[in-house]
Amino acid sequence: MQSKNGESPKSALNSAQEPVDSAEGESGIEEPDAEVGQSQKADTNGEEIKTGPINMFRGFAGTSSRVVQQAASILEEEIAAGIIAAKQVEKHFVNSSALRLHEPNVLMQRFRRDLHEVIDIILDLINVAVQYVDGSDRQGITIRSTEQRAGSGHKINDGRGGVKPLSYLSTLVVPKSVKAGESVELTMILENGNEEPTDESSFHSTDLVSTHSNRIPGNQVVFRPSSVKVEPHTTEEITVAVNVPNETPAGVYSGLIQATEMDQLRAVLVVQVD
Amino acid sequence: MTRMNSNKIREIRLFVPFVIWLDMKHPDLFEPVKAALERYNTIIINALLNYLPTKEPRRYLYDLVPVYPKRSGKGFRPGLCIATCRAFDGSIHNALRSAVALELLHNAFLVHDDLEDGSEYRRGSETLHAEHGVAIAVNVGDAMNVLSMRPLMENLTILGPDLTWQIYTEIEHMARQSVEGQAMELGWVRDNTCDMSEDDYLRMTLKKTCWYTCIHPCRIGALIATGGSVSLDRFNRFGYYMGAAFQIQDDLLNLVGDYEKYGKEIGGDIWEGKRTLMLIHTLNNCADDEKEQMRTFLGKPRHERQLNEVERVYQLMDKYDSIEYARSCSRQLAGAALKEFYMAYGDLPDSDDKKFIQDIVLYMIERDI
Repeated sequence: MQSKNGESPKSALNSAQEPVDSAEGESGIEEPDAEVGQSQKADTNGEEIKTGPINMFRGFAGTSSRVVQQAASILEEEIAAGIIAAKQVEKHFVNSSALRLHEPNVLMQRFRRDLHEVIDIILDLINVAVQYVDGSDRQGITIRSTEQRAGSGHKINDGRGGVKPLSYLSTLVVPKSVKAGESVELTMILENGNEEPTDESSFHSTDLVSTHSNRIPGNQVVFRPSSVKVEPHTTEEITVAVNVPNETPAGVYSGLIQATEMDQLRAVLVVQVD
Repeated sequence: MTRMNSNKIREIRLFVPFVIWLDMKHPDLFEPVKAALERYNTIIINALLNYLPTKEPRRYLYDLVPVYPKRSGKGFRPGLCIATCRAFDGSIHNALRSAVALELLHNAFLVHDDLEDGSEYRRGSETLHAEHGVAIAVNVGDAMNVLSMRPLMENLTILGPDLTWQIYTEIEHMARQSVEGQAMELGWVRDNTCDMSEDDYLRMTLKKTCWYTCIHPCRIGALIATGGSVSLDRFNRFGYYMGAAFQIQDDLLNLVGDYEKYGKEIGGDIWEGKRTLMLIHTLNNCADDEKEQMRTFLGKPRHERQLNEVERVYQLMDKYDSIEYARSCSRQLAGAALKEFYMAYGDLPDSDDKKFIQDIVLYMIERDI
């Protein structure tokens, strides 16, 4: 690599006041702009020195810089490969019968926005976690507390001019906090929007677990009545009582409520212990 | 630890006087950038520590997880993420969890990378596997990967499901590219590949380093701030050029840096047989017999390599000006990054964070740590 005046690179580099790169040659290095060269001179003007290095680097990277052009080409190749792979995954997804959505276009748009390969589908806990699309006669059952509206806003047309809930995962938040050794209750409402009654179902809860792995045993969650049958287009109220054991550490505890004869129905119970 | 002959190091350093002159004459030039990095790093480390479980097992797991993050890391990745978010008028609060996840994943890569390279020192102290053994270190690295999931999950309550999903997509791509790039590099070492091209190096660097060091942090920061309303592809070239310049500079520091500041063994990359741009340039330009010498050296396991052989590699790099060539490439890429900066951020109002990002391009290649 020779400098533009024929000097060896070493002597050129030893002079801090000379441009550090040579004229374009075998390495493809572009000669810095003349204006850039000026800014490299040792100068007592601190402002000039501060802007000098940035201008120097701008001058070094013209469009003819080989390494920059190489990098640009490689980036485009890699991105293109990612787009192709994403389209292959999208095609597979459309043909798959394992998961059918009411609104496939929404998820397809997600795939198309991504320019990278998408291999795993991370389920959206609110929109996708519990959905059944094959005409199950249980689709009309919803579960909510007295503080919530049914369906939590996620609804689709039922084909008869009305709407039905899309999501069957509700969150039941006990409205007030409770101390260790005390009990708290909330009212859970079961609404049957179907034409047929439900089977007699009883309820159970998992352990309620805090973010610090402390637990309230599931058997401390009591349902009154213990089982219920809901007639068509009616609601039934169930009182959910949480008995917090003594010495339970403070925290927010969550657990899952399920029904024995309504396997698609579940709700997250949340209790705050002071 | 074996050190290079000090005379050899001094001789090579004469080739790079400009940078040292710049830093010595104007030592405060990078102070604002360093100060901003320090601020962001402090925020991130404090937030990261809050995600560590306070339960057993501690001695061989949770007490070791913060070791790497707490060492004097630069905090580039979360800093870029947060600064980009703020430059687009977003908040630290919204970007914090994603930035913590980036830092955890980065440190997980470092733990495993040190093991895969056989590195003995990291940031001035023994590497995790050197101090605690391979098995413990691998598991701690795995734990960092696992722990990065929680802050990303918590994005759901801060940013909503749509943005959370998109951030996950960015992280998934980022992590996968990194392991693919690492596989390329490890494969070259394992197969003793000595005919790589510069394109090979640039592709490996894009995959291993640039996506996760620069491109995705910027993309995620802008995604969070704008809710996905800006095209994230505007950061691809900017992040790539900057990341490549950064990686070349890191490799240069490994050869000619100051150990006290750099924190890793000087010349360690040659001992490891790492395929840096300098090494590839030398292999592609040297004479056949010299290339054969290098091939023999690179084909040996690390513990069989000798100091005189490492010095010979240095001599060849010197002979073919490979170090200065790499430095020039680094500067060209940094210059290109600065041009791309105006494409990516030019339409934003001036702000401290926008200035920080611009200045960090220069700092990344002029730094000595």
